[in-house]
Amino acid sequence: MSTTTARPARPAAQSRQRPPWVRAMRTTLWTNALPGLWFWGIALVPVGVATFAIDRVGEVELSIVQFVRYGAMWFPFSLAIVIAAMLLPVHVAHGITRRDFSVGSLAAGVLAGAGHAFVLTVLLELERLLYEAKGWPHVAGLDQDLDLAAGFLPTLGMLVPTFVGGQISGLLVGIAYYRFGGLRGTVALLLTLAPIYLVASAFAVGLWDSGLDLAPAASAALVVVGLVGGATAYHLIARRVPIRAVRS
Amino acid sequence: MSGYPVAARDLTVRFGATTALDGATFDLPAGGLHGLLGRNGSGKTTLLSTLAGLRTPSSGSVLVDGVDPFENARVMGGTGLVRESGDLLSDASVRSNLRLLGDIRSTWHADRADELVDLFRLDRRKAVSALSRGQRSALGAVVGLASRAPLTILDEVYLGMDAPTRQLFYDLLLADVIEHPRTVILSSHLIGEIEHLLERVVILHAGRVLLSDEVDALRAKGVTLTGAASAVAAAVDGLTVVATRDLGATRQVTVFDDLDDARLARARSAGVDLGAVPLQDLFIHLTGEESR
Amino acid sequence: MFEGREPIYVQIAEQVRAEVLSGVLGEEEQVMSTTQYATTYRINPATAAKAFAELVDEGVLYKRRGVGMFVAAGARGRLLAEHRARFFTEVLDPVLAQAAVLGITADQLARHIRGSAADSSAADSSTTDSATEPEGDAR
Repeated sequence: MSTTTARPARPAAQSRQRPPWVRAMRTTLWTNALPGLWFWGIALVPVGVATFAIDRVGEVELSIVQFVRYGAMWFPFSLAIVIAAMLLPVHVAHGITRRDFSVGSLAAGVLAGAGHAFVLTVLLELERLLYEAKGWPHVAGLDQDLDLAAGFLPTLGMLVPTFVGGQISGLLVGIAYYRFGGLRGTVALLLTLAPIYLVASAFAVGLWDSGLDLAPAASAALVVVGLVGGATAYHLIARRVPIRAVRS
Repeated sequence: MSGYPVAARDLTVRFGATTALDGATFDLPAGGLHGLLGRNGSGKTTLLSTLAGLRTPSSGSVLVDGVDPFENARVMGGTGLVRESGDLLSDASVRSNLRLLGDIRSTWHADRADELVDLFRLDRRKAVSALSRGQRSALGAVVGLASRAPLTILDEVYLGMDAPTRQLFYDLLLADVIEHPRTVILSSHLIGEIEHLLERVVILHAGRVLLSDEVDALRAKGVTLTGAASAVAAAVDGLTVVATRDLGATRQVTVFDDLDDARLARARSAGVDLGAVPLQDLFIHLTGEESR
Repeated sequence: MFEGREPIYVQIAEQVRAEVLSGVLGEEEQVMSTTQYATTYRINPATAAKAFAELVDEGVLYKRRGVGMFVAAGARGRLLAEHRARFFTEVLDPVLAQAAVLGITADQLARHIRGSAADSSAADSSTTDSATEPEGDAR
């Protein structure tokens, strides 16, 4: 016998009206943001504990927050790999075009990278205020390249492209593994990590010292080539990728 | 929304040296419940994946609602293919997968998905990878039905279900298609139970379309003739015989051909018994080793 | 259910006709909707719709907008007349042909028929009544 009764059609929810690329952006941003919040929650505990402990046993001589900057880029980078390698097939298999997924995930990557950069810059700023109040020197330390005296906007201006570069590289690494397989995906790392190299090289300080002391125009050019080139490569690789049936 | 029509024109898909589809051509009208029948490895999943825009043809084309589905946002968004794998996040819970689909799919009906999860008694907290094969099949059915896509394709979905669950699935599917008319394609190599549910069937064999017709028309072409060997032999003279079995002096022959009533009446009066051929048997005869 | 060689819609239509003939479905009585029929017997809705459309064309059923399908007035009588006519051509003629082959005379046949008719009317006198008079059921 029939197990159904006539059911009035439910009015379409808000999300249905959203264009597909916005839907893809929301799901991928969510995938990025939730572990990202955990990251900051978890990272702040050792920072606070370390600052407190060092103050107790000795003297605070350098910024503790600065050490989070590697994690704040590489952790979301690893999430971006997962997004491209695992969420792309699920999205396309359920009706989102590769083009819309690519645009949505790139937009989410930019937002996530910028968000992490913003949080880190704010934390550095707060730390600076604390250090000033306590009379501690807010510096990066001898072998560190971060110029903490640069101020809020220059620091943000350096961290945002760097972290966005991390996101784009992550998406590129993920899509290369998905499309070309393990061996070729690994060989391709030389190219798929290029956005990070290029953006980081643009700044004499930052994640590492490129040893290059570039004119501002040259730096900007490296950033643009790294980000736009990476995003374009990701879009082109994603655009025609066949979606295999995954074994679950 | 009454569903997308579907067509393939000389569709060929190659993977390196293997040819998965070899010039497949067929049409399915908009709306209705249709079957894609083929043995394992006959190219069913490749064909369906191409229809859903998950891959491109090597040559030839597919048309869904009159257009190439590949990267067509409207048609891809209106197509719901459930492959046996489910295309879900296997390490995530049933609940978060369904939530994700609600975010991804514009046609998703969350209320319906919830009801179906309850009807199939699925544990929402379990990871997809921790589900049994039957439960995973049921989850596939939930995804296919709740997607309510104008082209809903269920690839091998009910194979993992036990008998009572399959019956539940057929009932739910039928009721759903009646309430929300659309094009539904069920693919399988086992259709004994669903023969009467289907309007048209496409039979795929070794990457080629063997048959594409209304189920009723196929049934009308198939007949078994059982009787004295000589009488049966005379009755089937000139017809396409797909199977012959001898039991002593009695012979049973399965014929697949255009049959005229006069010939059948003559056979009957010569003492030959006529019987229907279930679609499943016809499929087995047509795709058996001898036809290759 | 639906084991025969005929298309399913033919079998469905035949089943409904048989129910009208036997009086299981009375005139002006509502029949199952296509949807109910499809879900009850697990058959393709389009197939069920085709069968019902054929029955409407034949005048066995008629549609009341927004309500459903009903057995037409006089449907049983018409079906009876048709089936009676077909009985002679489709059922009796082959029997007679076979009888001729076997050398059974018309006289022997008539005697046999009279004998079994007497048996069945003795067993249930109302059978022949209701078969000849459609209103017989109402009494």
